Amino acid sequence: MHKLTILFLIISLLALGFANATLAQEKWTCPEGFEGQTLRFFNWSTYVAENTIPDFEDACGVQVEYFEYGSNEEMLAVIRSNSAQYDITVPSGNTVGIMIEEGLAQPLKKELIPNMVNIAETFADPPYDPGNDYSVPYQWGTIAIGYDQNIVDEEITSWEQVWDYDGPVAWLNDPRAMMGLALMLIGHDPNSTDPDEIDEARQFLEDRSDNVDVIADDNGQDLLNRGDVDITIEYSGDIFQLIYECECDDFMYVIPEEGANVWTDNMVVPYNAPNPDLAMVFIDYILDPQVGADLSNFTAYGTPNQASLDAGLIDEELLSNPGIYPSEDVMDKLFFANKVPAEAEETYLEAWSKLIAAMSE
Amino acid sequence: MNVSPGRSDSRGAILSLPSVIWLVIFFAIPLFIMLGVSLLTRGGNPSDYGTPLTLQNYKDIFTEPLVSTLLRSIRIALQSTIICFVIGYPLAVFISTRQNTLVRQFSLFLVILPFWTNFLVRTYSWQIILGRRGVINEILQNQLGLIDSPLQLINTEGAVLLGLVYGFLPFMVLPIYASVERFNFHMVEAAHDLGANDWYAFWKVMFPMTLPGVVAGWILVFIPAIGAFVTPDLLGGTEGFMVGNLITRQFRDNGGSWPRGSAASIVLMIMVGISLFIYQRFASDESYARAGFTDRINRWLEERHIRIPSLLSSIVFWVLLVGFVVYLFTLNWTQTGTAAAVVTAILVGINIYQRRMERHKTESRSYEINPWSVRRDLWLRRIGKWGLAFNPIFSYFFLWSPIFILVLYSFNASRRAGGRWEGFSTVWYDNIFSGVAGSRSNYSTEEMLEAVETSLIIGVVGTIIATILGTMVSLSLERGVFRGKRWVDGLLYLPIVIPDITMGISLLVFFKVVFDLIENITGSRPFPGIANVAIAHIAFNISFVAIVVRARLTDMNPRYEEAARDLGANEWRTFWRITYPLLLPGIVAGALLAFTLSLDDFVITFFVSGGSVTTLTVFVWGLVKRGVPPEINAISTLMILASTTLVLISSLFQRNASRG
Repeated sequence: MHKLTILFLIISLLALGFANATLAQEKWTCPEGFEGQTLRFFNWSTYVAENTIPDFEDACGVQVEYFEYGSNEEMLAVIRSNSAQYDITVPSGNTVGIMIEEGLAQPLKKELIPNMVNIAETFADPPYDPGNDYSVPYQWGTIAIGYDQNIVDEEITSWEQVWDYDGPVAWLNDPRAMMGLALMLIGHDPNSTDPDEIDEARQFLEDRSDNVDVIADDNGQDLLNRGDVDITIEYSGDIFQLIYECECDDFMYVIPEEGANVWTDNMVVPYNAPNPDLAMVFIDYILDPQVGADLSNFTAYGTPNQASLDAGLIDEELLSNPGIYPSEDVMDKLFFANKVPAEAEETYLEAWSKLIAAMSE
Repeated sequence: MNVSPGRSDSRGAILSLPSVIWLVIFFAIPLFIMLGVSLLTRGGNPSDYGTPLTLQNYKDIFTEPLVSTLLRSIRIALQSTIICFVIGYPLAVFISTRQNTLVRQFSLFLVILPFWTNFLVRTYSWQIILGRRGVINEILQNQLGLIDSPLQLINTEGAVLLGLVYGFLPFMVLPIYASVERFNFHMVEAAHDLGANDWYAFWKVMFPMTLPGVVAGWILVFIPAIGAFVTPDLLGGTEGFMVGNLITRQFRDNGGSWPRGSAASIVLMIMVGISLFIYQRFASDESYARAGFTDRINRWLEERHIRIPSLLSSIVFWVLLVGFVVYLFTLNWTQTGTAAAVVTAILVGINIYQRRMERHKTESRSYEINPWSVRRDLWLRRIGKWGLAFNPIFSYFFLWSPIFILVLYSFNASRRAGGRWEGFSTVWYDNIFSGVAGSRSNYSTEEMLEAVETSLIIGVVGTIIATILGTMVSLSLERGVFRGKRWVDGLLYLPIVIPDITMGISLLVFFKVVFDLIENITGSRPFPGIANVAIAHIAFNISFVAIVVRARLTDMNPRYEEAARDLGANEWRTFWRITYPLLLPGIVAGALLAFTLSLDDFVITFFVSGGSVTTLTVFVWGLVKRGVPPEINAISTLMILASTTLVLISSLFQRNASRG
């Protein structure tokens, strides 16, 4: 080998090591003064890494109480009715917009969140929260198809195959994602505000609901694992977690060629948080490159943390999976469920609950 | 009953007061608030409501697509009631006709024990059995090879029906058992002596006399079945969507509406009210109850001087009854019509046969016994005997197999909580006890222990308060004489007969209204938590404690108290020296019942806490709904073990109570 090449290799190796040394930041440290306090964390189920909460408790000397919810709607209902108070919740993008508009979120104290700079450009400054004044992205992913390869004979590449499948199917109880999908497939704007179009979407889904056995509250991966359904429309990360846990080749997650819903979950501090300052510190903690990487490596969702990606802390296996970090081609066909005016939101929800009642026929 | 009526007036009323206040504030007022909310209009959010006053919410429920949910719930509830009756009546007869006391108590115990296993756990166990890779499909497909692809058992209406029958069968058996046990079987002998065969002896004598128990059983099954939410949620999928699910979605989903959910709860309450009215009409008026159905109709007609042939009236009665049942299960008019025609043909056939026999008798003037009727009666008896022998085998298998399967599968090495058996292992227990449970899963042993602690705190505090209040109100009702006693009685029984979901929701609405009020006055909002749940548990437990303690009080001989007073003891001393020690076993039994019910409750806790209080049942719900971990069967088995122990202790106390 050429000497120069060897030299180059050595230098680049050194540089890599050097870079790693600088990027591998010191462990996140907690600001003083929170010892003995409690943080009430209202989050989706299976949505933190094993060490996320214990490490934070150790670093700050605080106690974290973890509460779970299964849908944005369920969480919003609790915050709105003020029937319980939490320091942090993790709503999806359009729900953040709703919370800001209704005064359910409080402005972030950015001086307590120096790690804000780590947010990836794609996910910073979103339309529902310009300037990230109220929210910080937590994870992102898609809502598409998880299925059992051993039972479903064909390779699924299109939504048509889901509607036509002869066997039990589960849909996700997420009105905007499901109705948006239908709107997109009909050829309308997935964020349409036209009541007629929304009704058309409801009819579209109702006509394709014959094989639907369950409207799952974020437990489609479980129905799939038990074999009670063969195909489920679910959050990408839930299916990937299942694939990882079962240590088998049974399951597959696919984003069909027509596109799918893409979403972000965001940390928000509710207006009635008992301990907002500790919440800010926790947000900073999650934005730490190592903590963020641990989180995404566990949940198998996409990370919005550019620093974690830059430092190479995300598992290679996940980075190379098109279901988690899709190609730009696929990325172009994904749609966000954006915030729509209140009446349109209402129309969506009415249509969805009508659909559910009608499906039991 | 009391010696000093002058003083007892005030004393009796005062002892009732704490319970009455509690139940008015935390039971009656919430129901009225819920009624109010049901007449309001939904605001921007599900939990917002305001003027104008409207009946729109009720209109919504009685139009498509919601009305079909309502009708389906009524249908499923009626079906499960009928099935429970068909299984439960012979079982109750079997148990109460055991001659050996020990055997009788043990047979009864075998029915009651599964009932004390947590309802969530029992319902979940059917997921293991009915799932597409569940026990039944596994056996049929992979062990026996009888089917190529799994049967669709779970997420169907049938699965909901099965789950409800399983859940509520003891409610049917217990009251019928009580009736049959009181029934004097010499009456059957008397009927036989008067020439009745088994068929007539049963329908004309035994059945009418046990009817109060039957009607009580119908009510006790129908009410919780129509308000069911857990069973259809876990077993029904989209097919088994019931009113309980509808109400839940109104309160927990963003697309919901509190006013509409409240209206649905009120409709539920009205249906419960109707069934209670029927109960009142048929079961409590014994002379009325003891007449057979057809006799009653005939009497009603006779009183009005309407004469129709008895053949016609019995055809109308049986066609209506059989037609109703067949339609309920098939929803098919052709089959209903066929069944009606068959019934008519049988009745006409019997009638013709009897007339011919009578003509034959009068013509030949002979009194010899007809060999055909003897043979018929023998067959009848044989069928009855086989039925009575087969029913308990089936019933006990049905009641116990899910529990056995759950326990068995807690030792299954498979990571999947149900399905294929992959070898014996205690790894899930090891995980729980070593605290590593939930690695890569959504819970930890620590969280579970916290949930247990929360349950215990609520259970202990709630039980103490409910027991004190319940005992006081029992003393007041049994020993006191005062005006308004009937009202106290009614108030005390309502929390028992109202569906859980209605009570949970009325309290959810109530606490929101109260907290809004407090926030407006003081500027800060109180934190809903353990206290709210405990308050709700006390509200229903006062009634249960009162039932047990009152039963003990009525059994107690008041002479002891009179003697003590004659010997110069004042009221205070009489109570603590005589009444209290005699009453203690009843109080302890009541407290244990309250404690068990508190630990067992899921629905009320779930709604009242608004997701902020995690008791053990709420924790288990989280496991079942969100990512079933392989440890769940082991956790369920431990819960079964704990509740069994508790029931054994409490039944020991009750035994002492019945002896002492």
